[in-house]
Amino acid sequence: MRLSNYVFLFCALILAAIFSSCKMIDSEPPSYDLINIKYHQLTIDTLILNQISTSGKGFFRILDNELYFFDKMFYTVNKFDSLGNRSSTYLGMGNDSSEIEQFEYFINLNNHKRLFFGNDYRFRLYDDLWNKNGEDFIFNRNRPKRKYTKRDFKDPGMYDFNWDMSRLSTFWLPVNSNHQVIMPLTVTNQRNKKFNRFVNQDVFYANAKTFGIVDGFTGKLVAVAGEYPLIYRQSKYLDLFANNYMEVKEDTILVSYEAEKNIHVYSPQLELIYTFGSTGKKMNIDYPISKGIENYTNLSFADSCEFNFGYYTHLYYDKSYDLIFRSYTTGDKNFSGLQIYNQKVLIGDFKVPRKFNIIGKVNQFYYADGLVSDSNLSIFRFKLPKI
Amino acid sequence: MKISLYLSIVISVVFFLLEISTCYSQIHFEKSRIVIKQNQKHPDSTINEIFFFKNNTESDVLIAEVRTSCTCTTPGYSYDLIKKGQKGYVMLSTTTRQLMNSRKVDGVVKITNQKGEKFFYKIELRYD
Repeated sequence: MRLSNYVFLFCALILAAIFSSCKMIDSEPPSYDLINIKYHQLTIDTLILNQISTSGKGFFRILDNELYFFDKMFYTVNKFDSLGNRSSTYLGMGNDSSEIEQFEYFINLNNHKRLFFGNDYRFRLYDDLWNKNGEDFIFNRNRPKRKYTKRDFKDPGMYDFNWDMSRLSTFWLPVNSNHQVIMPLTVTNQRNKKFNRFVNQDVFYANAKTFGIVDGFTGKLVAVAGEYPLIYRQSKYLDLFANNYMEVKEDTILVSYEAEKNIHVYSPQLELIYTFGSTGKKMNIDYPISKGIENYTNLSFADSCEFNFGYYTHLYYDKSYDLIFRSYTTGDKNFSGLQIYNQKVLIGDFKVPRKFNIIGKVNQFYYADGLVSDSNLSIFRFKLPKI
Repeated sequence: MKISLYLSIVISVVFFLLEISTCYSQIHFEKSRIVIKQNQKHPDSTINEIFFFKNNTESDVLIAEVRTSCTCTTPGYSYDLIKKGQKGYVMLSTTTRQLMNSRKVDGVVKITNQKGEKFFYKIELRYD
């Protein structure tokens, strides 16, 4: 080979390296931190609901412009009028077709079908009159193999439903236009002792998927997607703040991670398109260093983390005004924050009561879930001024 | 002045009676929470705590189901029809050691009447 050929080959290699690195830069999804505050004040109204028999555990929903309270111990669904008076009670613990065995999550399937998901991994389908619709079906984790190694991180069979939500969770599982439920996922220590949140964390946080797509009529986990943001590896490793909250915006999926300021936006093909978001106000993000599974089993430590640090939680998308609402805690037990985004731009950031998860809009009022205890059921509401 | 004072007293009494009648026109648990104090019982001892209720409704009722939040606790209850005006009970049984670990056990009591109406109540066993 002549010297000129070597020079040519060397140049070609250099060019190839440059082009490949350019491609890498191109493939990195864009990130936006845009702020244009338009709402400066929020006047919150508290609607105290007439006392009903409740266990003090549950969540609110808006369905067909009506307010409902789902009791997570009595398994009742209580409907309220706009003045806060109970108008009807449906379901309740039991085995009849007008009752329900149990539930943890409620999913509005968009086509007059109401789906419940229980911690027995069963889906229970009801019609819009709250009568049972067919047999229960089990969450099918799509797990044909008996054993999964860390190399199987793209395989749905590796993952489990992530039950480990914040105490401020409103048990929200969004649904896309194909009646598929978007679920938070994790790998449990029982499922894989070498690939989970608490061991081999560099490998786990670099590879693990964070949410799954589940068919709302069969319960089958059909796909997994989502990547933990870099902060989980940089901060070593924020195990107690590694949950994620999802919402559907038209045909995209929005994902908010507890410790990450950016909301991640995924295409219908489950590719990360872009990220956006701004840091919440007065958040204590001086997170403690992880001690692995010890963090998780030390309940008082986990509790203190939940109360003393700021993290992002619930997402809600309002199609009518094209607004995204994101709740966050600050680390102060008395108040939390609420961000409002229009497309990618932060247009409002407010101090709100500790649990304040937007669940819907009736007329001009946005409703937020809420205060739930044995002796008090209250929901918050507010109007956004015209801008 | 006197008339308005009398009137306000009468209104208050009426409201009080209304409140009482509403409260007692249903199932009324004498206690919905029983607290076991530290050192009250030996860790290896058994706890059998009874929650009594009175049927103040207009019909006879039946306890349809009692479910506890922990498999470590077994419920027992009045299996017969509880006639109006009569008392019924629910018992939660566990061990002191198990309650020390879980700190709290909830029970949900489902009571039905002859009209097919359902009522749910929460009872609680707590270690403090």
